[in-house]
Amino acid sequence: MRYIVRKFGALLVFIWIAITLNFLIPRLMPGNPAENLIARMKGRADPRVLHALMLQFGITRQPLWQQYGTYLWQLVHGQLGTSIEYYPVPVSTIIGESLPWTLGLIGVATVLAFGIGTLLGIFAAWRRNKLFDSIQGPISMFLGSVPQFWLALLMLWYFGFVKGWFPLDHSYSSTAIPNLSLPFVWDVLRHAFLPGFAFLITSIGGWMLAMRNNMIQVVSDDFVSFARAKGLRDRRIMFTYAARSAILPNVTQFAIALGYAVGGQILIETIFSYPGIGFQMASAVSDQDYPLIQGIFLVFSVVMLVTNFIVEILYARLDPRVRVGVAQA
Amino acid sequence: MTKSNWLKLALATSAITVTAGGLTMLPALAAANPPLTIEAEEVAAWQDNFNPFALNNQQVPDGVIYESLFYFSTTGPTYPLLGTSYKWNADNKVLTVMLRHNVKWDDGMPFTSADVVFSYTLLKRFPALDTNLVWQDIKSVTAKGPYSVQFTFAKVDVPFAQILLGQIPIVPAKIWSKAANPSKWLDPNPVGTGPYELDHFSTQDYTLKANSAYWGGVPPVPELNYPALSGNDSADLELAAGKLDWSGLFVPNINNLYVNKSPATNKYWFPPVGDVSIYPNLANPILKSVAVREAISLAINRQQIYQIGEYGYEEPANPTGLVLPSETGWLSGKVPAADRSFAMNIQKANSLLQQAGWKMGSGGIREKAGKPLVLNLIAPAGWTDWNKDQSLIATDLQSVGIKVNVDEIQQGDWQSQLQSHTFQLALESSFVITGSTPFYGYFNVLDPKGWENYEGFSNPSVTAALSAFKHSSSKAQQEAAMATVETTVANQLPVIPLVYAANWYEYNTTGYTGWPSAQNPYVDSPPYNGFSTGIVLMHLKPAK
Repeated sequence: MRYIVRKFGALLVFIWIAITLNFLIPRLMPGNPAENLIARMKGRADPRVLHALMLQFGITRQPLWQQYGTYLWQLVHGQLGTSIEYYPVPVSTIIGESLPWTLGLIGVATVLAFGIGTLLGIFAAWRRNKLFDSIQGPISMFLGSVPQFWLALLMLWYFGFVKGWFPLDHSYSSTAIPNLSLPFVWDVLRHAFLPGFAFLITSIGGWMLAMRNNMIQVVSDDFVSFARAKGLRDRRIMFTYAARSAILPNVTQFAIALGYAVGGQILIETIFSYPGIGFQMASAVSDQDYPLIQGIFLVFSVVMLVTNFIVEILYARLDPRVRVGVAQA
Repeated sequence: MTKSNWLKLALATSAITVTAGGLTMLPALAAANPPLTIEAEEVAAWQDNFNPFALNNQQVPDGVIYESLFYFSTTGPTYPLLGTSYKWNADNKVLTVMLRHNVKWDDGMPFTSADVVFSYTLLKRFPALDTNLVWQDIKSVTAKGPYSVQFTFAKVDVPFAQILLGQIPIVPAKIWSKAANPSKWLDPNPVGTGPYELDHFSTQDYTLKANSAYWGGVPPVPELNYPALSGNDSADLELAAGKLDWSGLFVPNINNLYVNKSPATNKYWFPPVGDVSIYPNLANPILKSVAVREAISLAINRQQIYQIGEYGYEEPANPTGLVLPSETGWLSGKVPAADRSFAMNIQKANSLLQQAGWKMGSGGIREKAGKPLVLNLIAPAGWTDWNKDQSLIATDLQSVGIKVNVDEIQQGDWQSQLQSHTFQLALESSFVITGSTPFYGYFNVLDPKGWENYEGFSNPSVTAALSAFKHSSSKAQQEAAMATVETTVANQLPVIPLVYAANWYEYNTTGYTGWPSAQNPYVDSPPYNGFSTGIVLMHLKPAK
């Protein structure tokens, strides 16, 4: 229990640091959002609009600590501010619209990659130096080192453009109306296939290699030999004994990967014009839409911190040594 | 599995996916005229926001859904929209506007002067909406019967009528009076008077359908389709594939990418709407001197900027600051022939600098009293055409002994330096046409109270001429005032015009003809230009 409380306290401190940095960094940049918008409109608006824009964006000449107070107050109320690019749409609405697409695409692909990769890794280690093990090495090395965006571009060009099997962009056909009908779900799946597959293929190898290497170490441990000596069934030793201890580093990795999934895959989403958070991030950066960038970063960092916290709790559950170590200290 | 079986399987799968894709399509509209696909803004995703007061609203509801009272075209005539005529009183302080009868909002309610008064009063109640600073100029707006309104000005400002009547969307009082804070309201179900209504919205695509009860008649195009295309690349691909009917894209090498694919139907027109200029900071001791500014202007090869920096789209500007051909009618006979076009003259530039005391120093850089002639030229990083212009200018000026440091900075920083007058030389557009006279183009740059007087110019005769223009509704007096301004700009070079700044506009005549063009410039053409879009759409005719 003390362990959890301590970790939770650390979590709160880190979140506060993230929020404060998020507040400070854009304010240290030259220019303010109103000036940025006028610049961006390239002569379609003259500085006559500056006054109204300052009012709209709530730009004040208040001292920094006062602005900080307002910022915290709004955050507590779930307000992330208003996007500049999409004024007056709240940042939270934009994140809310793009996050499900990213979670559905990258989140699912991450879970699949972790599941498939880990299983294959267990299998490869258990039957070390057999046929499967000797071909999986070079293949996963190769796939793991292929740049994701390059594979994505290649797939888009061949399967989308040359063959026309899959759509070139977006998450569903522009003429389709979102609902829960079968044709629409099918349409969404078709749109997700290429980007999802590009992500899956390039990330599976990493999971597999890591799992195999952990597993090979564990398999030579005494407790595995003991289990064998007891005459336990092979499958039981493989999963309940060896894999359970070998999976620990992979679980940490997995939580971090899930955290990254929330940040989206900027390159893959941009290549397929997939309306997820990575795509929104890329467009916000190119338009210097600071409130939106800030909002996305904030969600991203909080999710990362929280998943890390969950991992630490899980770790304590999977590996009692972690808990005990703290209790003795 | 053999190779041919693989192939069959692949073909079968692709056939299934194609049919399944077909199932999701909506049944095609049984209308005779095809829909029109428009690319006005590049976005990652549309937002359900049709608030017409939101500056930079990507969904551009102004013109198609909401209308202003008038539209003052920069290249064509003035179009009466919800207003039919306007009149100044004798001392130009009261403006009376007659409104159109028999106009209905999309929900069937009649449009009256109450809506107009409400819309203008809204800007007073919520200053965040008043992007045109209407209430710095007017004192009151009142209804004179159901079809007439009267604006009373706080001070005489005749040219402001074009902004007042031409840039403010009129919204229905019944609906907008319910919005708690109209500056934050997204107006997801817009009710307007324009030729189109929102039909269907999704973040990847939205469609507008024709308003069959439109006061101007039934719009010829039954449906407008706006796909969300992000970044130049995917939009360019759609344009090259002939999938866009009307777009406002900057496309390098447009002939190869677009026109040559189908020269009979794929057209573009990039009309000049302002100047790209060098703003010299007149508070700078070096740039205060007219001789130095003139030498800079003489040493620049504008043809090269036009052809190399700006892809051959933007021709060299006019020394008077007028944007030709739109403003040809304002070019005064008093402007001498030598000031009607720029000519490069290295020899004259050198002798001007020599006379001003700048002697050639070591390393090819001129000096005066031990100080070298070194200047910083800023422009936003990533505006690739301007960045190219910067280096062309630096090379040109090097040849007359002026060292220019090219400084590409973040765009907010650039804007901030302009506003606070902390730059030395800056690239920025100037003399941008607003409405049907050159007044605002000049006023903004040259008047001490102008919004874009970044250079810090202040000249009593120009200020007096601009003030005379402001106080007069007589064309002859206005022309006389402009003549003074034109000659001063050409002589004093308060800013140094380089090339014209253009609007980006491509159109496809496969489905419809009647688009604005250089031959028929009846109205401002880009699909991102608020309030003129409805006028373009009502001028289209189905191609046979």
